[in-house]
Amino acid sequence: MENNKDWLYVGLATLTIIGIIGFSILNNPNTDRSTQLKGQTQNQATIEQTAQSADIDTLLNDLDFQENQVNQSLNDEPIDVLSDD
Amino acid sequence: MKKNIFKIIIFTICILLVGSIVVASPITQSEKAAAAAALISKQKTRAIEEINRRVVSLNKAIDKVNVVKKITNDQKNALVAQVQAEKLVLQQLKEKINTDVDKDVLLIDRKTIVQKYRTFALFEPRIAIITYADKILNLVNLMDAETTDDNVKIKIIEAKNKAQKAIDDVSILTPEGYPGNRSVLLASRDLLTAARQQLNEARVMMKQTINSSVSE
Repeated sequence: MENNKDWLYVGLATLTIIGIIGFSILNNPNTDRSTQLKGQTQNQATIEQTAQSADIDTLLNDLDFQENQVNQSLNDEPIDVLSDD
Repeated sequence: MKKNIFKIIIFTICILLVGSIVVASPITQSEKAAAAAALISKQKTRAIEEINRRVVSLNKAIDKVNVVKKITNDQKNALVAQVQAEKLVLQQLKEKINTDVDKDVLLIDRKTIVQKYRTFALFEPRIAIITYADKILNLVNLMDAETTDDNVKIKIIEAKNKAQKAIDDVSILTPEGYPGNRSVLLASRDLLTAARQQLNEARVMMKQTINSSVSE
């Protein structure tokens, strides 16, 4: 009976140790999976940031066209509708 | 005898002259009438072409106003209503010109196309300025979300204020105020040029911040 109790404690202790080790491995930032996930997230953020930066640069360049449109509309010489007289 | 011959010659010349005048006069008159009619027709065609050109421009203006995001609904509705009203009176003027028969009345109507309806002088620049300002305000939002630097944010806010002022100033202009209000158009253009310059400077500052944080 006493012997059986010992085995129960040993079993519980073993399970606890296995649980702790398993939890540590899964949450360890140095494990491959965690590093991979972290890398993917960083890459995604970098891609999004680069895309947004490129977007801003493109939109800034597009302002050139808008300014030309304004200048053209302000400098348009009116066609003389009385020129046939 | 010689005297009689001379009289006959003079008489013949007179008959010929009178005859040529009588025969030639109706042709000249009809030619003049035909030339006048042709001129009126040409003037009408030209005037209608000019009206059509303005209507096409106004239709494009409505399309542009409808895609602008950074003006209030009231501003947008007022602007579209003005353009629609301008279109309507131009269409009515076109119908009137089509029925004009008097050259003096036609002349007044043709002058009206340019002098009363300021499609190209006022509407086109106004819409171009509002579209330009809208693009700037769109960029302001994008850039502001990308930075936490106070100095950059100050430049962005200044650019925003200038673009907003340009929209507010040109939105209230009317054709009746032209050419006096051309100075407002020019000042608004200058505001947008300055706003764009500030956004370019802010962008350079943003890139410098990113580069320095990467090198750290």
